Amino acid sequence: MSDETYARKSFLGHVPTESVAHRFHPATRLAAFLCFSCLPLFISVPEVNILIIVAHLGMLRIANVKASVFFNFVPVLIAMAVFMTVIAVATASSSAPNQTAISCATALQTQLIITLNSYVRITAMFSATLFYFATNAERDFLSALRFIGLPFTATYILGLSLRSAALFADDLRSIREAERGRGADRQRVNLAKHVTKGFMYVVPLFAIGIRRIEEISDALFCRGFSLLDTSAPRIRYPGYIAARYQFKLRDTLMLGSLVGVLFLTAKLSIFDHAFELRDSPIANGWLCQTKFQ
Amino acid sequence: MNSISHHQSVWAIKPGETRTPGLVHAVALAVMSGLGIVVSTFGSIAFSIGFVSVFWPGQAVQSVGAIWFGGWGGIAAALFPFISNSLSGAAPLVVSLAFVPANIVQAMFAAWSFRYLDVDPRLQNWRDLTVWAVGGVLVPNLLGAAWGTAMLYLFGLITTPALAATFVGWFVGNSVPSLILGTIVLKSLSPLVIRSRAFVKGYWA
Repeated sequence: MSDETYARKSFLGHVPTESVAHRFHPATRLAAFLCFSCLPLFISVPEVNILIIVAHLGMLRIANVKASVFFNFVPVLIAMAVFMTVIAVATASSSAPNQTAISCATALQTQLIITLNSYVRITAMFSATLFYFATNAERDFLSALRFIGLPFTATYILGLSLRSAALFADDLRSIREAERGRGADRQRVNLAKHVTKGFMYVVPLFAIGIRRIEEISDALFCRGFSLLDTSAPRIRYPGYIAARYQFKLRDTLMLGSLVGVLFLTAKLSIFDHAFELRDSPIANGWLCQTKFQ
Repeated sequence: MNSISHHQSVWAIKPGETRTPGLVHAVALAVMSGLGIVVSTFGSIAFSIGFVSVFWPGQAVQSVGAIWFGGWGGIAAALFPFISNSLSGAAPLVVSLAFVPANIVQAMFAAWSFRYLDVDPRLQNWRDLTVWAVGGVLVPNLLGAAWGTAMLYLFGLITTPALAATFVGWFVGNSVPSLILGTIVLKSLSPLVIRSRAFVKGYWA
């Protein structure tokens, strides 16, 4: 059987049709995403954020997500690490209180540990995002929004945006294939030409978009949609998609746990000054002897 | 012999013309959001240097969308970075939320400057080009870069030494593609958009 039978097309390519993550209601999954996206903001201990990253990678494995979904983002993560390290090294000496070798070395150590902390925090937030988008399709996202009470108009427009994005991605693919069909070889062009070609792909997308606006609005009008007409009678749209998902006891327990963990972490971090960089064994170990304020 | 030149502003409401927000504007919001997601995700993945991209063509969609569709383009400009930043790994969701004012300013300043200074979106003379460059690209991105860099610093995602580099990266990464791409798109497609029902003369209709 092909991959298509095991996966639904979604934001990051494909979502597994069967996954442990799907045992929870879409609203619960969205809440988990929001919780784990915010959690690293209150944690300045790199070891804890690394644990969060490892936990998300493990969950990706358990949730039947292909490893290639994560590996596609490795270049971005590496580029980010290189950029942050270069900035830290380049500016370390200027932050030293006096320009002696020992002072500069200490300043460099300090900058590197602070940079590591920032990088790990960003990566922990990103791992939560990756897990959510790798296990949830557009339908799940929109179902969650409808469940929490977002108006039908807003959800419909959001759904139309996501569908439009998928259509534009297909159009971009067609434009590139047409270019290859005319004999263009992108592997042999230099970076400047590569960038120029990138611009030229976007112009036809704009033209397609303008035409699509008129076509879609005419189609919706013909079907009697009146998204912004406040004088039209209020219609209670049947929740077909929402009826497919049941909010169960496990969802209640999960939501309670998530809220509890988030509030406890925030409270400990803000009022009790927990999870600070001084609590990190790495920061207090051989990398840096500087005491943090 | 009369030699009266008639300057018909594209923003002027003609006698007897009534304009109200409608379904076409909501669809324009959705389509511009979708376009922005694809364009900015492509740019961010291809040329990322961390939290900012050296090449983010999504800003062209923000400015051009707001110029053509007013407030609807501004809403799209605030909406699509949520998805594109998450998909490209450029910024987490909470940080994208903090970027909303910057994204709105980057779009609506262009919309305001074109309407306030009565500039033709078809960029027909040097005045139009200058207002587009300054009011549509440089000033909005200066303001957006300042806000965005401040948010990254407040969230502890960049260190103090990285402030200047992040600001410059944001400003240049937004301005260059917006200036080039936006100019091409405005000159070539504005005649089409101005004749369409979706074109917004005010801010909402």
